[in-house]
Amino acid sequence: MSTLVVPEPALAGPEVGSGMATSASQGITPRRRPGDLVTTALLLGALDVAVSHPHFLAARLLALAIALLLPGALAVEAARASFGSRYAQAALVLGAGVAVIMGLALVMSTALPPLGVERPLDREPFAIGLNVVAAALALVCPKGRDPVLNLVKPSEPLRFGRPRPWHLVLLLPVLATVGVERLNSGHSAIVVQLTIGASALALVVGFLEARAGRHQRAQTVLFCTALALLYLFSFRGNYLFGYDVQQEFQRFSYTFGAGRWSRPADGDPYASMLSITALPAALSKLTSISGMYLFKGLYPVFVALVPGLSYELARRWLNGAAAFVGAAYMIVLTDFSSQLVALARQETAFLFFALLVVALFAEELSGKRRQAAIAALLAALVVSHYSTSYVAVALLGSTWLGYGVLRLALRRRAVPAVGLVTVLLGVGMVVGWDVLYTHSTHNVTKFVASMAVQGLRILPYGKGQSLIQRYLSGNVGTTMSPARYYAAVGAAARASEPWLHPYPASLTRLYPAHAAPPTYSLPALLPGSATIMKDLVILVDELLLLAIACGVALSFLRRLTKRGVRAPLELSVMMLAFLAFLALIRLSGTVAGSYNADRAQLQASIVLAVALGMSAEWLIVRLRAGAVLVAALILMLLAGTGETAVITGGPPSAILANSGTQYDYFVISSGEVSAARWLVANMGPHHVVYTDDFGPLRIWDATSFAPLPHTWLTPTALDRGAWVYATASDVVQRRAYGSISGARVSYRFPARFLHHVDDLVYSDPTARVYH
Amino acid sequence: MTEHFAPGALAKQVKRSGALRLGSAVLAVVAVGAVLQFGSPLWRRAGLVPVAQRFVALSLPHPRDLPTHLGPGRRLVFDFDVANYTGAAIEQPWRASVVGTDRNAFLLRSGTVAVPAGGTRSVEVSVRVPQHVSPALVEVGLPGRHLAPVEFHLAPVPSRAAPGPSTYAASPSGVPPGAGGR
Repeated sequence: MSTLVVPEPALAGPEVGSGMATSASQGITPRRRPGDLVTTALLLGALDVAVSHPHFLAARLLALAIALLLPGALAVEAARASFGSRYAQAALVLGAGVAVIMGLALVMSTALPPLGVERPLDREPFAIGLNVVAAALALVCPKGRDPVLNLVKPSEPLRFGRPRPWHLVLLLPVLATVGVERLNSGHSAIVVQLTIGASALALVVGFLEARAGRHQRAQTVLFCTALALLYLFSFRGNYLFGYDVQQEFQRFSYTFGAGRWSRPADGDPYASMLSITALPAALSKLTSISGMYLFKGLYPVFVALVPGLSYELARRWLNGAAAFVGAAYMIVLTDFSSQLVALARQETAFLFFALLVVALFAEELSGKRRQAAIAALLAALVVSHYSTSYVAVALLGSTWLGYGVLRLALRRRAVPAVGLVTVLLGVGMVVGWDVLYTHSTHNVTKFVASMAVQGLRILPYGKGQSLIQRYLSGNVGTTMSPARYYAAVGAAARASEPWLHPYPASLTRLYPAHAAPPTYSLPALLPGSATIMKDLVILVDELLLLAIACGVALSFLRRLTKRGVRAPLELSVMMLAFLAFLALIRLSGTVAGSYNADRAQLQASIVLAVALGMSAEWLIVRLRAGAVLVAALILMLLAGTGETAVITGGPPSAILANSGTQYDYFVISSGEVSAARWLVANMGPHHVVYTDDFGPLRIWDATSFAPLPHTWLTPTALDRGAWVYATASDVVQRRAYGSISGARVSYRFPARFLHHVDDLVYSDPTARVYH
Repeated sequence: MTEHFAPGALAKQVKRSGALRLGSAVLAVVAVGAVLQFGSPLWRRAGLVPVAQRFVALSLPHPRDLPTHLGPGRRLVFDFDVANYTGAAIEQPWRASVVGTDRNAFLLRSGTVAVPAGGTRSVEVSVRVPQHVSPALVEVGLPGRHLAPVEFHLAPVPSRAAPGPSTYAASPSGVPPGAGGR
């Protein structure tokens, strides 16, 4: 019996699956055959049929998949861009698809309204535009092969019906969604906890697969674990989860309603980012999938691909196990799952940044093709998120400069991965988009102003703490008593708001501050273990940071001594630049005020995965400490998701209970949405709105009201005649949340005072409006 | 036994395999969509579908134009809205009462309003305040619902000085004496 064995070199080459190899070898220029475009035509036909049947969920999902992947696949083929591994290539295809849709939405929004098409992002015009672009891309793809099938060609004969144990990781995102939806429906968090446990187990599986050299499996494990953890948070609640995402959703809603993206007249940075405006609006119009589900379900996919790309980068110079440890570090960082789902712009930008870094060091790319890919990724990054692009361009510049100096000192003539052209392209795009076109430079001007007034402020917040404590806790605030808060905001309101008509002290002193009722806490499985666990997590966190720093040093040392595994010197310079940036942002309140330190660490971890991998490799090879490293990662994962609170007791994270501070903050009720809509519809042009710290999220999520409401909701700071929006926490728990100068407070909601001075004009079981 | 193919045959084989893979992916997406959509009763029973919170909301639809002054024995005119988010039509009882400056409450009017699912119904209240009550606060509540009654303050005026029925005059920033301001 004969066995079909496909020759490996033939499959791996760029001309596989076509007659091009034959033609080329015979010196004949390949011709385009109609058959080569059949798949493209069929998929476009399927897209058109699917978008015209939006009442079927299957049609909506199919339209989304084709709209994202087909243009991306054609663009990648047209650019002849190859990243080597299937995983990286798949990520590139998705990234290219997103970039094409953003570009198309931008062009159509700019060019078509003057021609009479007022709503170019509506379903029909955008579908036509997408068909035209896809057809045009297909025509510039290499001749003599099917551009779509060439990308999905199997590396081995297709086999069905052979499930393997590791395939279970593919179910992790499903398990996460099931668990969190059950929690949303009032059930227990047991399935969520099962997901977290399974994610920890998946890290072990991934480590073993990586150690065995099965890179694609290791990357798949990273992707599924990351997506599961992200879904635990993104699907929490019936509305969007997180802070920034509410404002992002507002800008999306505006673009969606207008049917086109417009350059913001006021330089609003959120409205300037195509990743949260034109992209979801076009996709939502085209596929009829609600914007909220795109934010909840699609954007996490973008960033879930990133750890696998870090692995891709690291494994070029490291063994699989070490590369896995380096790449998994990003996933286990506390803010990966809980913060990134609230930053759709950054979820998109991180994908482009990771692809950019992979492209910079990809051996498969060279010449103009490489420069074109880098330019396209830079452009997509710049229009996706301003801060990520600022950091990226600054670090590209630092790397070019640092490596340039080293090359001069060492008298090397190697062609740099980060050339002057790349740096200038990055700077030019940032200036062109943010400064000249959208005028969205608020973040930079704020940073410069802050720098001019305060300097670098090398020591972060945290008054009353030791230097080490302040370093360990970073730029996090303190807490204060309700009475001090009342006094502080009263004085601050009078100083900063001269228009304020406060209530007289003779009245407000009748309603002094009271402590809030205690928040819900999980009972401790191991009483007294909270401090030990907290210290252990901090220790592991700092040891991993130390390992990263050692990894950077090791990469330079190995270059100089020419011993052991050697990463490119240029990559070492880039890692050093990132490390210095992290140190600066961790210590400087001024820098941290402009770019959150935790988010900076997430962005840095994309590159620093190599540094951590360097140290990990040394530890694994020399000390056989692979198990310890995986245990450290799992501990970080459990702490990051709040699962350690199940052991130690304490306030639960939002994914572990239907109560607690995080639940109060981020899980929005229908009653709160209804109250916010009523408020905005009824308050008229004179709208001074007060609410507590958690109120703005509800108002932004539910309405088009864009300003930040006043959040000093106390008798001492309240303006007469203002509107007051009370959240579920205020109404049900009688607990309000506030902050001033980095200090946080929870206090009893001043319901008696409001009853005395205001009318209660809207009431439902979980929200109220006073006037 | 190993068998090698000519490049053309290999290309066809790979192309067929790629088409099979692509077709499988398309079918998988369609299958997932169909299972999610047509299995929704099952998912709902299993607690896997977001459940809309069901509640009734009560509001004063002209919050900036509520009566601000009213004397004993004068006519009070205002309206309130009942919004129904319970998912089913309801017959909602309501009670409007007035609290006097002596803190005693008097029932002004009560009734029932039929509100369709997802709808809002407005109820107008027009009632004369008893002579012996110097009104300070008007409350409207929905018995049986877990929500605070909506309410608005009134500045009492002497019965002879009262100019007639309460009006929907724009509310100044003042509130009842001693309260400090609205």
